[in-house]
Amino acid sequence: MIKNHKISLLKFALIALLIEWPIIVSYFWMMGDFSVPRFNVWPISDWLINYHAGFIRRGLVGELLLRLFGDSSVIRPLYLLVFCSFVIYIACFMWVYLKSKVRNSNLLLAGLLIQGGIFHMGISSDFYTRKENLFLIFFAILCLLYLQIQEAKEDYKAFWIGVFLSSLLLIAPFLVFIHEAYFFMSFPATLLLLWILAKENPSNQFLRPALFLFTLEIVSLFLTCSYYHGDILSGQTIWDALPFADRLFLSPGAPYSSFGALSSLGWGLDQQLTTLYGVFSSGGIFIWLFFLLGNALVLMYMASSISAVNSVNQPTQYIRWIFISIVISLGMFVIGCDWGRWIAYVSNQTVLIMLTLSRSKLMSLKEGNTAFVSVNKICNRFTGLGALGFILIYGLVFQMPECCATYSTIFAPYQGYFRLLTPFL
Amino acid sequence: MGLVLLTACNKIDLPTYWLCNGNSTQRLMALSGDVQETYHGHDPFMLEIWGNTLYQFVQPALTGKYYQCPHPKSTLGVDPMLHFQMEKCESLGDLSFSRKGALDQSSGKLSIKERRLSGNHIIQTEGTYQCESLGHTFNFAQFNDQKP
Repeated sequence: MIKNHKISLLKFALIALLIEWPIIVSYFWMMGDFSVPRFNVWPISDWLINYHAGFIRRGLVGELLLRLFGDSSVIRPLYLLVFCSFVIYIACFMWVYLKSKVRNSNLLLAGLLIQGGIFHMGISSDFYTRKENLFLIFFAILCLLYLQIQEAKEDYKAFWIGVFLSSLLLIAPFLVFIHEAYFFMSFPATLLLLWILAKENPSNQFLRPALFLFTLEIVSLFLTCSYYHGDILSGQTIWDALPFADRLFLSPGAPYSSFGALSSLGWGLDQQLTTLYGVFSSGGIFIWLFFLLGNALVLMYMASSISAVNSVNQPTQYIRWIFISIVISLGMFVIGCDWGRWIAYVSNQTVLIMLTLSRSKLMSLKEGNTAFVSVNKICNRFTGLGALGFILIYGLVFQMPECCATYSTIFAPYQGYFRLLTPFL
Repeated sequence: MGLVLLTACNKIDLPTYWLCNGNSTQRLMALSGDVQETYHGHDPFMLEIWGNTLYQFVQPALTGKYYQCPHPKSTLGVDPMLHFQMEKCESLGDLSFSRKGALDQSSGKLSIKERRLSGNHIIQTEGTYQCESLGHTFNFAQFNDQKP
């Protein structure tokens, strides 16, 4: 009994550390007074795309930053923005966990430690510094609303469904204007969540039309953004609109030439194809396969832990829905070479949807649907202490890069933290 | 789709890479030609050649897509010089913004020049590099501090 109490206490301390450490590190890194860029200049330049050359894809946040802070520097407010978005994402993630009523510290540990997850975001300043962190926050909010609908009394259900639909239809378009990759990254899983909600609430007259409306809205806005994709000259005009101090900071050797994501606005399909070829020709594919497999095992562990609680010897649709949500989100792997970003995003989104659907009124699998019974069985094999040991080692030893992987960059960067301690040793 | 995959098996159709080291200089000049500001860069430069197009997205000064164009003075089949420019070969282009370069594929010498009008100023960027051919593969370790 005392031993169990000690183990619980140890797990609690570890979970607290895995949440606090990333927040502390990212606060001091983003808010500190350092002369070097706090994250890669390529994603920094992606945030700075604005509407100075007319309407263009991805320009919304950059335009707001330029209007609010264009007189001095937009980079410092950007650091504050990405730090706040990280903290908000952590808060939303924990809220989804608590509201899902899944009470399993091993599962929470796995969700925090997964490559590209909260722990790795914080210790590397990667992933949360990208625009898709805003997609994750919004998806988590939708998950919270879904959970609220599940626990609401019948009289209030329609109200919460209304809040869910209004939020979805009013906010999602802005996310497409922030980055058109919303169409590939978040839209498919969001549509699935909406579809499940519609299946669970057949009497609500707004849910089925909303499926059509939401699809029409996102597809048409994605096509609009694709049409206004920009070119070399618009990239240069957007760059010229930035404060000179920021341009000099990002590109000290050539502050008058557009750079990074701004210069990539003019890329065509052929350039996208060569970056994908680079994933294979640079040898990075083996690194990505390693992290794909590792994250798949962590997700299997989590899925089996949740489905084991919910299904009493009765196969349910739970694993099927998780599987579908992953498969329909894989389109992002053909839009660019940043496979670490895609693995991280799909993993984090899957963790959220796993927690959320744990409260779904699960439907039984139809008889004869043997494929997903087998998937259930495969997932259920990856459980126990051995699996947890793998998750701890995989999560604490390695560090998945965002893109452009080399073998020297796949380990957690603890040496940087040890260097901070050396003056005291 | 199948045709694309089959074509990819033919190595001649795969992209080739050149990694270059050297210096770039950017000058801000008045219309009279007086130099007002000068900036120097030492980042690596990577050329990716696929078909008739070239890409460069590592070096901040001269990032972009280029078209391979036959040089008027070159002799077909024997000229090791690869000429490229930002505008399509047949286009007259925007005279206020031009970017042209040449790679000597036998010696690996690369020179590239940009000239752009910006208000009452001329922006001029020049780069000279020594390149090595990497064939059809490359490694991100060679320039990982500048990544997309």
